[in-house]
Amino acid sequence: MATVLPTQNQIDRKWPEGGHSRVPYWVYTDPKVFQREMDIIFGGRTYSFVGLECEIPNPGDFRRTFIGDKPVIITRDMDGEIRVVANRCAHRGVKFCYQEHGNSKEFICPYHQWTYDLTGKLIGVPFRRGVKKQGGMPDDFKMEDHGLQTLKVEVRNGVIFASFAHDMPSLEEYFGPLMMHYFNRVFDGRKLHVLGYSRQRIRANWKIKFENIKDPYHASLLHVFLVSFGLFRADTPSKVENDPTGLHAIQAATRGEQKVTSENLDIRNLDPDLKLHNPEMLQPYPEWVSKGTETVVMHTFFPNLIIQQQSNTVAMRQIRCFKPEEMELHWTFFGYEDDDEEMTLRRLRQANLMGPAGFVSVDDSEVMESAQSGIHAFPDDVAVVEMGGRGTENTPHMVTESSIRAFYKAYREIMGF
Amino acid sequence: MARKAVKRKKTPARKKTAAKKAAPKKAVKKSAKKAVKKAAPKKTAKSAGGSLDAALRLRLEVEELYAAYGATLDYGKIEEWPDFFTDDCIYKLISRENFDLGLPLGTMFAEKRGGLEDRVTAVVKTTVYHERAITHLITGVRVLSAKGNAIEATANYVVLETLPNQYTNVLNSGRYADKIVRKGGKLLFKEKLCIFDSALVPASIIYPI
Repeated sequence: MATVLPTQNQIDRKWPEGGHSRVPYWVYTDPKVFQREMDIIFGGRTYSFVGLECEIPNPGDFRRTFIGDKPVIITRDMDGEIRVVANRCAHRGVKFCYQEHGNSKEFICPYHQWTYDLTGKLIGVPFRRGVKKQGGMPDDFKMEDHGLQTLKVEVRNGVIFASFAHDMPSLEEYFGPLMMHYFNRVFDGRKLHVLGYSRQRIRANWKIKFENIKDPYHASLLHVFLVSFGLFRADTPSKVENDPTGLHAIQAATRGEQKVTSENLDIRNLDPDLKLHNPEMLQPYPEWVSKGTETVVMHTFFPNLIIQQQSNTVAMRQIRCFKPEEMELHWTFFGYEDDDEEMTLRRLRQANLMGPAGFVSVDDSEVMESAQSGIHAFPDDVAVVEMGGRGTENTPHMVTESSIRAFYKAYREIMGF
Repeated sequence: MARKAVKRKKTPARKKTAAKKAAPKKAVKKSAKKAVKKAAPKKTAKSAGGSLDAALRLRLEVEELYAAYGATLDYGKIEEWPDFFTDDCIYKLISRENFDLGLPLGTMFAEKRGGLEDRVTAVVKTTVYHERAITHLITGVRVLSAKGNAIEATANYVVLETLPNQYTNVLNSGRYADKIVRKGGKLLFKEKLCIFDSALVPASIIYPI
């Protein structure tokens, strides 16, 4: 007979020599590491992106989502307040919400019909007083002790974040002035409207995706579309900025020309003859000029959000993860209230760059799966992250992996490695 | 038997299309034979209007179109994919989730022949991906309407995908909602919507559906 072992949170792993310019592959494969991440990162003192306010415009509106592996519901209560509650009945743990989205005055678990209002308060327990004076809950059963788990909610310019920890600093404090500056660049208070969702499952650890957007080195080499059309390339004006915690970062660039020069000779994927048969797909409108010279800013907001702004295609990419070696990317493409038809069409056209069939994103999805596949059997081997040195500084160029190093410096502290 | 007789009596009162649908089987066989003999040499507009042979012929043509379309994608002749479309076409691969919510975002969205050619360029030239085999199973083909040269048709599809060292998986399933036109005796897609069931898709969709 198997013995029941006491719960242990010990992970017998030691970070390799070389500090944060080395990443051991076990961070991408070890189930215990993954479990700790779900507990203390996604389930702990972080803010995760859970949705846009415009997705639940009316009282009673709700939508299901996940924070890491944890099912939650975002809702607007009858007073118009945004709430986030666990999608888990307080009785027996049933993931009670069966609809992806909808409108309701209350949540009813189908199993025993425990009923909650939209704030998560338990308002009904069938047979609470028994049937024909038999059964029923104990006299000391207190409804107020058995509500849904509630999350701390922060809403900024139409974007909803939530945390399982209630004693959190404000969103501004958590993300810091650098990230809030770039956040406000995309979310300047204009109302948003959703253009559509895209959802994909990638067989790679969630951090491989998060790092992918902290790694401008690859973007300037791997993606024929980006480098040929100058959308993101090392020889164009560009920069990498890490927030002081190292967890969040941006990488930005200004669109360059489709031209081979002495400065981009290394970029073998730059095809000076690549032409679009329908150039409408990539005719950007200079939308961001009043906010700086960048035409692309890719943001990582730890732990679960990537904000994509490439030309006129803007999207939230939410990371969900249920297994160490697999993750899901849930994209919400959006536009702004003052977009005319032409602008909406432009955003829809440029969306061809992104998503599971994206001219650019396919490269990433395929390579990330290959990365996972390559490291799977070698958890004790290590990745070398030394492009641009061994530091974590901001750079006025993109020939660096400093954001990845900054991330792992912070990650080690959080995880205790 | 009595009920059938009642229905038969009612049908003549309805117009062409209704009569065609309700016509009893035996009667169809007889009239079809005659119609083929008569209609074939004349090929008048009238004979194409509501007669069963014309409807069947159209359906066979549309079925052939779908079969040829699938085979072109499945057997590596992706460069020929744009040949199935008109110059001013629209192609969109869209999740049922977006479609039902009235959200316009497509997973693939190509306008005009040029837009389709750009998708071909991406597949054959620019994108990094693992080689794979795909197989289209297209079934339940229906012609919903046919007015002059404009045809509306629908079909269900399943696309199977086989990656190296993996078993075959379902890549995408759903339905086509298409507008087809006849140009120079050939049927071409003017608008092709592929509405897929599972909003969550495997990592990559490389080939058009």
